[in-house]
Amino acid sequence: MKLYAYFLMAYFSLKESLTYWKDYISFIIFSVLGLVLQISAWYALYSSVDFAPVMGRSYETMITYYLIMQIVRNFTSADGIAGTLEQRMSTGEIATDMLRPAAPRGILIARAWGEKLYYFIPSILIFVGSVLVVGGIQLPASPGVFAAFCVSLCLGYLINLMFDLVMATFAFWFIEVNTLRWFVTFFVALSGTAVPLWLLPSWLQAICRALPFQAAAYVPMQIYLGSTNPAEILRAFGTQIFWIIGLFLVQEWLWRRGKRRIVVLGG
Amino acid sequence: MIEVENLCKDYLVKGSKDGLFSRGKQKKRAVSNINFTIHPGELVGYIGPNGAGKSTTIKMLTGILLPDGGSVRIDGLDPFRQRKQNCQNMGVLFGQRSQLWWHLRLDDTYRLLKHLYEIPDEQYKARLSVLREILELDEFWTQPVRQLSLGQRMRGELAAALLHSPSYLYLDEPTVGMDVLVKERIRELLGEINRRDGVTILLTTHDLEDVERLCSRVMVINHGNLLYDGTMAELRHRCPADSSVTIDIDGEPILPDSLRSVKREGSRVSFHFSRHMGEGELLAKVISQNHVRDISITEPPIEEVVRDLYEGGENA
Amino acid sequence: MNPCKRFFHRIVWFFQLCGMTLSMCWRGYISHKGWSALVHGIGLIVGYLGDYVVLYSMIMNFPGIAGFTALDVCFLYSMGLVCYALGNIHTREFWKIDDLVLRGGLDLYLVRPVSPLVQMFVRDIQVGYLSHLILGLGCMFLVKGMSGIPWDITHWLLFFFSILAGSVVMSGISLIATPLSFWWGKSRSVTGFVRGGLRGTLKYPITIYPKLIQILVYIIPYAFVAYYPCLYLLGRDTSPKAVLYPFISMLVGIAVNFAFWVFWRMGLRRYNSAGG
Repeated sequence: MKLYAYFLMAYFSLKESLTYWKDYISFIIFSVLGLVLQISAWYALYSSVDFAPVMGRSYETMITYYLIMQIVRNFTSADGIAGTLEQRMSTGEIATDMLRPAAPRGILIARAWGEKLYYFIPSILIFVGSVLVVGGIQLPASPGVFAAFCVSLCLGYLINLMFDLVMATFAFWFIEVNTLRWFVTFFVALSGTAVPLWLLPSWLQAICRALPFQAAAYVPMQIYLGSTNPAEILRAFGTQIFWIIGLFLVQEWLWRRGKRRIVVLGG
Repeated sequence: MIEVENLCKDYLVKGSKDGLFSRGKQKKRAVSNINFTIHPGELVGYIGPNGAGKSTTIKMLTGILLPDGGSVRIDGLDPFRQRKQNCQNMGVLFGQRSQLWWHLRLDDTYRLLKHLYEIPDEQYKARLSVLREILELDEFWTQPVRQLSLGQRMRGELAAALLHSPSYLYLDEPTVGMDVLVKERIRELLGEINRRDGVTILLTTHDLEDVERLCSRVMVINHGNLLYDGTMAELRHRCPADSSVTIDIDGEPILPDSLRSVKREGSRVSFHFSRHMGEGELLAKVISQNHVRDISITEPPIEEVVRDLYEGGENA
Repeated sequence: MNPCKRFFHRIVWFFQLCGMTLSMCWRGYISHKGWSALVHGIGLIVGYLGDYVVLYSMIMNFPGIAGFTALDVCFLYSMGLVCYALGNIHTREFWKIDDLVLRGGLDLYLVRPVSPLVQMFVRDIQVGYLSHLILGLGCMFLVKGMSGIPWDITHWLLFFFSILAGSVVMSGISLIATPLSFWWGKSRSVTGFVRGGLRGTLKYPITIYPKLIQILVYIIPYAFVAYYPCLYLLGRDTSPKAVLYPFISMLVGIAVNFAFWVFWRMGLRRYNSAGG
């Protein structure tokens, strides 16, 4: 199906989201509040050491990490595609989705992008506002590093997407995705989104690095804060691509098995 | 006895937007000077199109809304100011909202209601067994409510509304969404309850059939005004609207000349027919002279009846 | 029946009602979710454990935050969690107030000879919050064990009283914005902010927040849910006035719930005159 059609779906999803402007305001207030609380916490923590570096990172680095991480999270999140898929399974709408010329996963992704853009714009504004309030953040070591960061963001999105699709296929076996999500939250908390991995005890860090979650959030941040050393950057890309391919294969395999199950069960 | 005198209710409705900001509030009269008296044991139908003021009236009778003018007295009690006292003696059933606990069996909800209404044990047991018998609840007694069909659920709801032996039962669109057979069953049950217990029943509905089958008395409301209060037969007599009949015939149709608005489509013939114009005989003739495979009679929609009534009322 | 006897009779009746609906909600929960209830409970605990790991590892690298150690903060967070669970066992039906007002579900309560407040409090008892309780309490006992602070009888009494007081405050906060629906229809954004967004302030000692937020947590008194009661228990403030904080919290809790009651009656009066 034409790429243009997917574009249209994203556009209409965005338009639909705009009608819920009250949610928009709520989102902004929620985000700002969350930011204020967390930055207050970092400030208070660093005050207790008179703003000396902790684990080799300064207060400025920490704040940079936190603010940029919000952007990373918003950009790379997979927008609950798993939940939507499960919902469409339980209502039976999945059958009509399968009949459409576009792949059902494609439709979900296109729709999700519309919604994502809807939230992306205010989050950028909030980001800019926060940077002004805290008085500036660390910039990447070079424009090249920044470019690598952007690439890494896209790769991070793909990782999250693949993982969410894997979760979504569990719906074919009627496993409640929302319950699974609670288990995953545990690991997502250790992906670097809530607290930088350098603050975790080393044994925990080792576990986290073996998981895909940090590849979507912590790795891009490492690039951003890291040096211009190309070896480092390429290694980071390598990790991300490894997870993308791995998860892609898993979800393809599960999807195919799941489709067959749908046919057998008749929806 | 239900005594309603000069009952009025206004709603403040946002007016249309003039320009960017001004949005004046307008007063809309939902119920306008309604008067009626319902005696104990009556089974009354209360009909009217959407937005006519039926629900508003019922809400004032049940103490949910405060009237803006006039008065309501149920056995001398004000349903709003003496809410708790009045509630002890009334049962309410909303067609589209369930009071039963979804994942549990019926008797769980009933036991809760027993506690809420403080029904003594002996009375509860006796009453429940009577209701189980009349409403035939035993066939699905052990199933959770979520597994029940609409008809079964409605019977369960009726029992819940009657558990505390109220003298008054208010039903708001009880047969909505049901198929014909189920509707018939519910109507029969309502009739039986009215006869056995002498429960005064006030039933609002869209469906003329409900009233025709069940109610001795019907009240018609439209635009907040009570247009008619009397028997169903009299109402039909006043309303000149026609029913429409469609028959499916084998072979060539033999039709009397006086038949009105005849249309033919293949083996299907349709024509207009008006009961109170004595055309019943005409219909019987058509059926006897033809080999009728199938027949359907469509009553005039309530809106037409009411519209005619309203226009008739205007001209009167 | 003389008024004393009648009052006693009402209390007994109310507790019987609670027992009945608790049993009904429990059975409904189990029959609806079955085994997945257990899985859900475990999943929830695991999810929150993630929060704890984040919180602890954040602070353990520093001497402390506003004088609270990492363990102290975990204790604080757990107190917030337990009070949230206990305080919201009976408020879930009010979270649906938008729907009840707009679709007329509220009417079903108004046609019974019992106050709609009482009916709504017992309608949807959250048995699922058991996981929160287990987790929160478990964590608090763990922290106490790990930190080795000796507790005497005063501490223990205050501990349980603080939980009670904090829950009362939490339930008041949860409820206070709900009558807005009577005027505004959809009140979800405001209740979401009060019940959800501001709840984040429970994580850390309130002294770290900017002045505006600090004022806010006195008005919507999250400050009295965990922070003030815990000061004495954690040994952060051993002055005699710190012992009074749980009692002040209880007073605050009663005040918030009273404010809700007044607000609710105003809203209900409006519903009676203006409809849904």
